[in-house]
Amino acid sequence: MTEILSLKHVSKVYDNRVQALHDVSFDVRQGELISIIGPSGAGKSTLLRCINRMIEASEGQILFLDQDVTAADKKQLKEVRKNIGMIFQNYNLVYRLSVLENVMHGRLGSYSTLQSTLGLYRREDVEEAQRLLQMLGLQDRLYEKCSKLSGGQKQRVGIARALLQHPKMILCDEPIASLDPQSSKVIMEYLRDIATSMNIPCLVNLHQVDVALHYSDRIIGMHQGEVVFFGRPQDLDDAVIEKIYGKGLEDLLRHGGQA
Amino acid sequence: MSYFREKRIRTAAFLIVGFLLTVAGSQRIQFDWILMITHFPAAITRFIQLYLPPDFSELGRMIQEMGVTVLIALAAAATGMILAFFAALAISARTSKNKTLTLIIRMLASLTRNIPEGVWAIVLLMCFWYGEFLAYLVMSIISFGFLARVYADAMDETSMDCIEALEATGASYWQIIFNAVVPETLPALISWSLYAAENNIRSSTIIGMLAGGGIGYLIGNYRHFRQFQSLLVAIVLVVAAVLIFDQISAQIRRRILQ
Amino acid sequence: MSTLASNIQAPAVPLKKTRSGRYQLSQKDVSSWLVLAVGVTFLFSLIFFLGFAANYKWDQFSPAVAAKIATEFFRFDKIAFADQLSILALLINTVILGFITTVLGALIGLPFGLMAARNLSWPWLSNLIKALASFVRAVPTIIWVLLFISGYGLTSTTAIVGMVFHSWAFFVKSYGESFEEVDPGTIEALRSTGCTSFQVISSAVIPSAATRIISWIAMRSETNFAVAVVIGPAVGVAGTIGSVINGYSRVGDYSGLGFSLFCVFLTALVFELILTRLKQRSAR
Repeated sequence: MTEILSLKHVSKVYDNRVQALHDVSFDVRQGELISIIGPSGAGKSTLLRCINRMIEASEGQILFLDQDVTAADKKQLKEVRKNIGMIFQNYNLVYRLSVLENVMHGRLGSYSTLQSTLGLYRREDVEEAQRLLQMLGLQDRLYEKCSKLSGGQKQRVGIARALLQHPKMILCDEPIASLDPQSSKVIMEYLRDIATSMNIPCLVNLHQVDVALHYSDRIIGMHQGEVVFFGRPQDLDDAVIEKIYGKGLEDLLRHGGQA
Repeated sequence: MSYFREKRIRTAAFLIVGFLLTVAGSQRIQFDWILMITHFPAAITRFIQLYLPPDFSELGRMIQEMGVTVLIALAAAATGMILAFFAALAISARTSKNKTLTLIIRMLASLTRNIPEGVWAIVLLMCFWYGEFLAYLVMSIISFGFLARVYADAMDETSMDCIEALEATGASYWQIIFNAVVPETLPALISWSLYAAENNIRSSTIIGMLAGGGIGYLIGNYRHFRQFQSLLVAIVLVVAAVLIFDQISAQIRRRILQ
Repeated sequence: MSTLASNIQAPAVPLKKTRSGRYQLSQKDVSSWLVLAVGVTFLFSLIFFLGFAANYKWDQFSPAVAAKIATEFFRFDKIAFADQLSILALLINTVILGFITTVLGALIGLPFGLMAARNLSWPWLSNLIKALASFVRAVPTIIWVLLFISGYGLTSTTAIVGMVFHSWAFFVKSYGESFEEVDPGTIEALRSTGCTSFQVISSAVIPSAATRIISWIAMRSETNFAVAVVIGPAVGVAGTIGSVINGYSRVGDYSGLGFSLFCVFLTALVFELILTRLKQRSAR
């Protein structure tokens, strides 16, 4: 299996001298679903955003398809971002636009400003957007305004937008934190499927340990900006959980799997 | 109870200071309270003598000038709308890229907004001369100042998480603006622009009196030549236009912002 | 079988096409049609005005004066100290003019605001007062002043009477709205304990609307100051900073003009800052 992404000794210190990440190293391989778990403030979100440079890392190397992201110039960075899809906790859609228009935003990188503003997208791109929405079960919602959708449907639009980028990898920032259990399950099944059958690795920030255990190939455990565990779900024992959260798995599950 | 007592004392002190300030102020600018009340009936009688009955002989010309005023008001609001949109991009914290530019635009907007329209008319009159174009310039300036502020507020208030998402897809700055910021804020922008146009019609009287152009110019003239009976008709026309425009724009705004 | 692949066998809904054969991306609703219509109207007015109606002859534009304005506007050293002081005195007069108008408007507006609030008054009275206020508001402030000149003469009393009319209408509308937002439970509770209407108003309605009332007053102060400035040149009421601005512009004293303008700007800026602060406080 080839490595898509590898982080080497990445650190991030914010202006107010808060150390958000400390010496983080790991790698992502083809077709994997990797979960990042840890308590709030462990640096999960910062870590994800350092990968496509929505936040600049202070130190270390991020290799994406053998290219150093941290050293990329403006043009190279655009290419990197085009190749990485991203999904958000709050869906981050343009709510006054239709489902189809929002999905088309995934292709903005390959159109000029004028073309995209006038909506002059190529036929095959629109057809592909339709096919993706069909795959995600939204085929009869193409022209609906996004503000009218339910939470789970909004997140599926977000996934379609990310997939239309033809990403080599997808970053998911708490994709199910705002969803009910039923929609959460659907979204996680989709992500699992994207990783396995479409061969696109997914790096997922998660709150829920039980969900991570169920769906992940590998798990990264973070505590105060440091990686304290990196391995297969079956190796995640109570001692490690305690190291990540400061309390045992039993405790966590008793509180509905929420940390 | 001491909290309530303290509060009551504070309110009383506030009222007394306000009262004293008002009395001292009226002393200074020779504002006569008693005259204001006692003379009121006489003022009304005088008004009736001078202004009634209304003289409709110039109605056609007035309607034509009213049309010009509405046209200028809309054109100026459009100018203000376009300029204020870009200014708001520079001002709003979510879309600004350059701190110095933000500061400069902020100051410019504040300058245009905080100098009254009549003063703009006087100053610009010195180099532009009377007429419709000057009225248009003045209205554009005040529309710009007003709209730049409310647009920036609208951009700050609307949920703009989508900016982050589009940035992550590799979209350029202007793509983000035209595909996310504009669609999300356009209804608010349009409804505020309608408000600016309405404001322009209101202030067209004063601008017309000082700078020429539209119905305000006629009003100034009628006053100058003491044609009060025509003046009343012109005033009624302005009021009618404001009320009608207010109704229409309220209806449109309600449907746009649903 | 995987979920994604199984979904693709669901019957496809065909994409809609536009008249030009492209795929349609969105469906227009009432809101987007209206936005489009209003936007086009605006742009059309602009093009029509600038292209056909304006008829501006650029030889009327005088670059020499413009250059002079640019160079001499900020030469505050060119104005005698005594003149600076008198300009400041006139500025104070203007502020007072606006202040008294605001005070009067706010006081006279209060009882009418109570009558206009739907939850405190009878429907017919509320409608009547609101209609009256919206009519008075539709008449520009300057017109109100104009109408009273014949009765009172060109004095500050005229200016105040005229300006109070418009302020009054503003306060009736804004008070009425604020009072209507008072929690009906509070009013109900006091009424049930046998309070008189006056007690209900003084101890429940006004205190709970107080923060909003204060910000309305600040907002109107800002407007009234601006009106007080322009009332001098537009109508001819003497003794305000507006009349001195007009005077300077007639004789071409650019430095004096610049200084007076600067004073007006700073004062208006202070009003705006106060208003922004109040708004932030009431938002919290």
